Amino acid sequence: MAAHIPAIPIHRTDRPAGKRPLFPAIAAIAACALVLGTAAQLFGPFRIPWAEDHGLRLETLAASKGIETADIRGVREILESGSHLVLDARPMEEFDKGHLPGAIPFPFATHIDSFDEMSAMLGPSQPVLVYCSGRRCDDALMLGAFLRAQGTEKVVLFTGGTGAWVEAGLPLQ
Amino acid sequence: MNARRIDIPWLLEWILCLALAGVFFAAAIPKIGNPSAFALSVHQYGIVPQLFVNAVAIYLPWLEISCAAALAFIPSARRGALWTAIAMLAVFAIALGTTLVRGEVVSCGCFGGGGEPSSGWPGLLRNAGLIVLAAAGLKTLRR
Repeated sequence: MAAHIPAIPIHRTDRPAGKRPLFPAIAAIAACALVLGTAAQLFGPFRIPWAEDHGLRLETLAASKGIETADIRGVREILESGSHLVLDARPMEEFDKGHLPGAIPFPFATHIDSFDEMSAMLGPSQPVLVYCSGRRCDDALMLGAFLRAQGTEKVVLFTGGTGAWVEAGLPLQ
Repeated sequence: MNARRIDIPWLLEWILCLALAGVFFAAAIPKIGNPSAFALSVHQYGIVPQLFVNAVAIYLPWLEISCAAALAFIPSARRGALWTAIAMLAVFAIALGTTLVRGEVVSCGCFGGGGEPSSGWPGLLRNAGLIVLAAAGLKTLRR
């Protein structure tokens, strides 16, 4: 006759009941990031200043790509002389809302197609002025770099873009 | 003989957490390798005060790494890691949304700085997908 074996409740120890507290885990993750980030900044090979002025970022990047930069006065002189092909690197919808006088749409998003269409106008010796909406957009800079890579010798970037143009009280077309 | 049943929620939890950890690792490594390019991306979004741009560029990738490590290797810290991930993704969504509202196209900086422009709708949709993934991960957690 088999002995009676009492039922023993089995608890899975790998999944305790109830949820784990949230705060200690988040605090540990944040502390870990703080320690690792500080260590990388103090001893790592890729260090940057704790704080720096990024205000001249566009100018620095443009110079590194062989692109000149121009302010409002410079752009007005260029527009009056008519010496440069003026290219608007913003999306087409933005161009339609208003653009610099005499500008041609050349959205960076479709720059390969636009380049094929306009290659006859874009000879290496044809100076070009590029712009987008302002200092925080990259379209004009990247378009300028693309045109430089295609052989355009003189590319001027209007860093202020349409934002600075409107702020200066000048009319868009 | 009883066949061992596959614990589906447990498996799902691991898959979701490992997938998210992989994305965060992949996003953090290029940023750590080129903090100056990432700092420029942070600056471009224009939502962080100038003084703190570099600090964000220094610490954010390590927060991603810590979060990914917790998701992948410390099951007991997953709930905290998933909430941290959701918070980070929400901030990224605000940054991406800001560029959309301004009508600007900037280098996303999501997987390091200085790449092709991928902010705007593609970046925002990818971000939303990751938030859904993290929320699903939270749903599958049982501790």
